[in-house]
Amino acid sequence: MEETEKYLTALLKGDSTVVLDIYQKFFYKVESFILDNHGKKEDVQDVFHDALMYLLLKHREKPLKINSFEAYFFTICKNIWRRTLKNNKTRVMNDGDLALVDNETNLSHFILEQKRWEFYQEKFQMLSGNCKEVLGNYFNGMSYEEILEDLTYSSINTVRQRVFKCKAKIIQLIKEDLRYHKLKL
Amino acid sequence: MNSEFEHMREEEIMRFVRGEMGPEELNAFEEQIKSDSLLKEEVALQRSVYNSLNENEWDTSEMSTTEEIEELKNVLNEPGLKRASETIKQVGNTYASMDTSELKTSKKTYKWLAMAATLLLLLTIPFLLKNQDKDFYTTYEDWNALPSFVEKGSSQNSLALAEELYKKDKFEETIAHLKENIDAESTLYPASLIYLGAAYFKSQNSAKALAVFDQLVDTKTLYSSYGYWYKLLIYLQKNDQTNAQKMLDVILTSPDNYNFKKAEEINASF
Repeated sequence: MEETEKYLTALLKGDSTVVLDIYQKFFYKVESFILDNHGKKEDVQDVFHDALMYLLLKHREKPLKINSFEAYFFTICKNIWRRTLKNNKTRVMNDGDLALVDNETNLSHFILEQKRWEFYQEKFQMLSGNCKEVLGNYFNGMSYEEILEDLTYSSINTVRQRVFKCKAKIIQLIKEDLRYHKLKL
Repeated sequence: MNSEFEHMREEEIMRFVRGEMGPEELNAFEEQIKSDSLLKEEVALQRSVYNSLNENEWDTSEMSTTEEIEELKNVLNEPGLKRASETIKQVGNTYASMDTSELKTSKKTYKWLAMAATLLLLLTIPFLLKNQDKDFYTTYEDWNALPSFVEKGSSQNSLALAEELYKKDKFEETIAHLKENIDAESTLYPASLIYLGAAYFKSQNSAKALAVFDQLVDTKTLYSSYGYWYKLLIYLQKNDQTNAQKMLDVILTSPDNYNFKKAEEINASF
């Protein structure tokens, strides 16, 4: 908590010494992740910058209460990179026909998407351990057959029932929350 | 029956979301979505959840109005956040230009070797390092040549008197005079802080000197970077290598910073 406070205050004050500290501590890990996931060196700085800006903005709205600055910051970086890859894929599918947007617009969209992601994550964490396991596999593209093997259920039908119930549960939790109505999906 | 229908509908939605439908089924389902607003809403939510919780995807469904985006862009353009953004970029460029290849190699392959070397250094040559720091300090300290900010004909102002006292090695009097007359609204405020910090240092009060130079950095004026330089001198004098290196790194973020060249020289052999 103290570390988070120190970093965020320093960022708001424009304290270069502490910002350099952040680079020295965390850049290497973020860089390794991006380079291992189809990225280039020049992508890393943009991701790092946007992740820090997201943290700042969130902290300004409401002081952040997180246990590990490193873990939270790395998650933000990973999500920014997931978004970049998704946009690149969409661009390829549209034969490059995707309007290029300026950095601030891009970051603004990410900020709203990340907030939505955190909302879903919060609901996902409210599920039972078994539901998290089943849905985690299902959402990451596993077929019913693969889940059957992986989690040793008795039949495909049981897996199907389980996925159905767990998915219904998370959708119900989301819909019951007032924040759902602000999503404007 | 109802539950069975629900089940089938769920299966359909998920096959649609996961891109598992054949062309015919897909066309038919898209037609249904167009004419059924409840189904449309359900599909949008399930797609959003699926893409969010799938680690190889990301949910980019449009959910925001232009106003919300514009509002966020305005916030990002506020001076405080704009300044933070610039600092992050500037420090990022400096970090990128630093030679970290050795560090990375040691992290990957020679971690044990680096640890052993560090231990050896700690055990055997601290005195050498101390002497080296002292040399840097002796070579570069410039407390007797602080920049003068007093223009000719303005010898009556408060800073002029402080400079005069300081030059005569009357450090306690410099401090007393400046404490009484310092004005945070004055354009000479940063210059006054330079003399106040230096006078504290010369009076053997490094802690207060460092605090004053921090204030100088916080003024966010052209003279802010003087604060880094004088803090560097203090850390060198105290043999505090870690903080001295931090100051060097900050000064080297921009050639516009005070004594950038000297910092480069020190950094080259630090």
